[in-house]
Amino acid sequence: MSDTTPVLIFDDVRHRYGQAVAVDGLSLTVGVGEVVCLVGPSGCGKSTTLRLAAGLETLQHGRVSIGGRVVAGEGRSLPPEDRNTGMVFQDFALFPHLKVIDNVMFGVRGKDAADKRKRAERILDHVGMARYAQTFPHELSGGEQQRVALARALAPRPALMLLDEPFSGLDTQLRDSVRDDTLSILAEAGTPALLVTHDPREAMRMADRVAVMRSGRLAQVGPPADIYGAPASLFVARFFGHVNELRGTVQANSVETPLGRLPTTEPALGAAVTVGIRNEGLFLGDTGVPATVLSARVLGPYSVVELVLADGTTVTAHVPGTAPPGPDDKVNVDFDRAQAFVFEEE
Amino acid sequence: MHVGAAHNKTRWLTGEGTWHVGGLLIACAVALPIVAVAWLAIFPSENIWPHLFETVLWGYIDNTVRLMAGVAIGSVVIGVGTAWLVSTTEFPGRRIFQWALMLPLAAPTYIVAYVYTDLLEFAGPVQSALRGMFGWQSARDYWFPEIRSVGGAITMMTLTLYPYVYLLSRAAFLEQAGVTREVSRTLGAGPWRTFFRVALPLARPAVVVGMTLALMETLNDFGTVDFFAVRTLTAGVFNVWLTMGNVGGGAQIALVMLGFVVLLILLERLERRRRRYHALATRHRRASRQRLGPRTRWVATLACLLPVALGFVVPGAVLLRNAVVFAEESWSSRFPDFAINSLVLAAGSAVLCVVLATFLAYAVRLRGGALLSGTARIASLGYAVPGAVLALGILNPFGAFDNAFDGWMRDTLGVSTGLLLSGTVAAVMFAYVVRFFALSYGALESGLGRIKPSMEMAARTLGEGPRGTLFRVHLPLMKGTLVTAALLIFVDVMKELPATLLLRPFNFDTLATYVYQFGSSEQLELSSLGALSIVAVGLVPVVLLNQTVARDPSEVM
Repeated sequence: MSDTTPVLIFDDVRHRYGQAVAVDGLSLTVGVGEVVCLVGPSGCGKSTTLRLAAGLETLQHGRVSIGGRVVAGEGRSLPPEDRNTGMVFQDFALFPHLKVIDNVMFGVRGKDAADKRKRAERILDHVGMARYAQTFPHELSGGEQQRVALARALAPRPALMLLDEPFSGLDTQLRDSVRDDTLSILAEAGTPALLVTHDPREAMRMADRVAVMRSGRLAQVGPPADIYGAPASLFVARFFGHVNELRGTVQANSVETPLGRLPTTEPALGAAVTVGIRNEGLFLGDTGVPATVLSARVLGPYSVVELVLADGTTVTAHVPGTAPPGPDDKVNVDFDRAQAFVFEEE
Repeated sequence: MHVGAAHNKTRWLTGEGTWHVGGLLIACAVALPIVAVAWLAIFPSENIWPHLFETVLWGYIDNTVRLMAGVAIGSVVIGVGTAWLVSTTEFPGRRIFQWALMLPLAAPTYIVAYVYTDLLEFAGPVQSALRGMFGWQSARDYWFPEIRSVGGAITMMTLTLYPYVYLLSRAAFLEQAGVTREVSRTLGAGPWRTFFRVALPLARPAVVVGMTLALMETLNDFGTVDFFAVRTLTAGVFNVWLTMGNVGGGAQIALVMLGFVVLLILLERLERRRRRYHALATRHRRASRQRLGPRTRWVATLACLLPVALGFVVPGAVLLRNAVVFAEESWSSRFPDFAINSLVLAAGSAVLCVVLATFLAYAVRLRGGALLSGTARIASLGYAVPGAVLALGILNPFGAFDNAFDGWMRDTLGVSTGLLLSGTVAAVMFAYVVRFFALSYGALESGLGRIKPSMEMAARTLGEGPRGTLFRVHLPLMKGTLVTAALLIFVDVMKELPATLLLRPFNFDTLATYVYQFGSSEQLELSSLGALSIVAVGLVPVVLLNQTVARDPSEVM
């Protein structure tokens, strides 16, 4: 596409509830056709951010633009109905008194009822729910309700789709397939989306870019691989996986850890740092330092092995296979330098 | 850059502001009479507090307190006792009694009082029969309780108001997990001990709330105390205001009544809050009913039969007989006119109440705010404010407005407008709206509360504005609530007496005032058709309430 202006722009958005700061100077964009996942622990301000975009929350400071138009800030604030956004809610929020087809038609504008119906039927067909048009929402399963909710939000052809924990109401087995369906429906419609979730795996799976939020601020924004492979902080590293945290001091371009030396360039000499090494970044073999196995547990795809090092430090390793060493076994443990990150002490 | 103020400006234009301002206006209008009474009492044109204290006030208070104490004891004993029997034991007729015990709610106290006076006074059939049987000649030959007394008023009010206690206690007993009682029994407590140590303490908040409702009605009553010449505070308001022509004094007595009302409301709120903690989340199966012994079961039947018979069957039968025997006279005494007046007023007020309550409840939901919800709360105090007090609080501001407007028009245009508001049907309807607003507002508030916020968020993000969302989402979802609220108000307006009496236009009568006029001048026969109509309409909420308890006891409060 030629137009590269982002569809959604948050510019220095701040929001507080009474004294509690919910969003603190957030700037973020969602580009054309892009799916951005806003992820973070509960209470980090991600839902507030989404509601500010939808107009369900009153903007207090900053600016929000959708489709090149300022919808909040600069002395104006459009109500939700004038923002041209679609929203999918955690509880789907289907209107219980309306049939599926009438739910989908609810937001379709236009004079001609037949046209509106046609549009609704097309979109229902698109999400594979055409044969449920005359059904009432309570007769549908969770996954079906989710599709109808998505169809209803897409029917008015919104410039932007906002999704608030849209899969957390579904059981785990259903979730993966519904996620993929949602992505392909959004992609076909060409509708960019901002999706809020507390589940880091869901964010990784769905997002073109992941925005990690913590205490009202963005901790890191980037493609899933960057977030996982180059976390900007210990918080981000922890949020996307289990991390062994080892303390150390920077000495001449490297950090000495109980597991061995790790080259580093960034922090100044003598700085106190924490080295985070992903559990799956540890491996048992011939190299590395000696350790004793404390416990081992088979989880299926991998096994969790707890080890104690010579200096008494305990670390956890995720090792492939279903035949881990047993307790009290002596092993050597080494680590993948690409999955070890140096963070200055916070 | 701070956009708060600018944001508000845009919202004014997009509609939510309109709702906010409209809601505030409604809430203020409904709160006006209550504020007006307080104002009049605090700043009277002539201070008669000292005079009131020296003369009548203590007598009014004394009578009111005795009346309330009597009704409290009577309605709790009858209400809780029958509720306990009906919900935990098995005896002949239980299935019928569980709804029949609510029937006395259909008859306004003043109507029941007229019937019993007619039956029990010296010339009435009961005393005549006794005299005939024992050969007594005059009142000096025997003793018979005087019905037109404080005791008589307590009896009448207990008979018609105990259903409030019964209804809420029964709901509480049904709600209590059956296991609590069974546990108590397995721990060695007998049925009496279980009742006093377990069931009653658990049900106490419901009992107290029911009692406060009965006492609010007691305070509100005018027809009975007027007829029985019991000088309560309500009678005092009428007396000082209308007979002595002292508005400030009337307002001051009204303020004392408001003091009682505030106490009752505080008590009610306190217990309602407590009730929330008492209500257990899990609803277990109900405990099996206890089968009573061969003799006790008939005692139970009698205990339930008496209140129903005395509170509903006897008065209903007397009225029915009179209505049939004197059908022609009743009909020709302008019954149809009064009935139409009543129906129009009741239907109009019901619709108005529901529309205004919908507007206000939705405005609160849209944007809330301490000011709006605070005013809404004051506005819903009307249900506790006695009709006489309310009338005083309406007539004075209306009269002041009429005088001021008339004066202004005469000064500027040379035209006299006379009385625009006071003494009009509009003033009467305004009183109804203020008094029964809480009924509709409470219903609407809880109806809206059952609709998840995500519903309107979905509608709004789908491009629908606040008004369209109300009409396309909320109202269709609340149809049942709206109809029920309107029905309850309709019935209450039909029964309302004191405010109607005080505010109606000259020569304008409703069924209630017509029954009052004929009933209190002991021409019950002629007003029986009217009284019977009021009772018949009064049966509607009894049926509704019964269905609610059967479906979900927790929804009663």
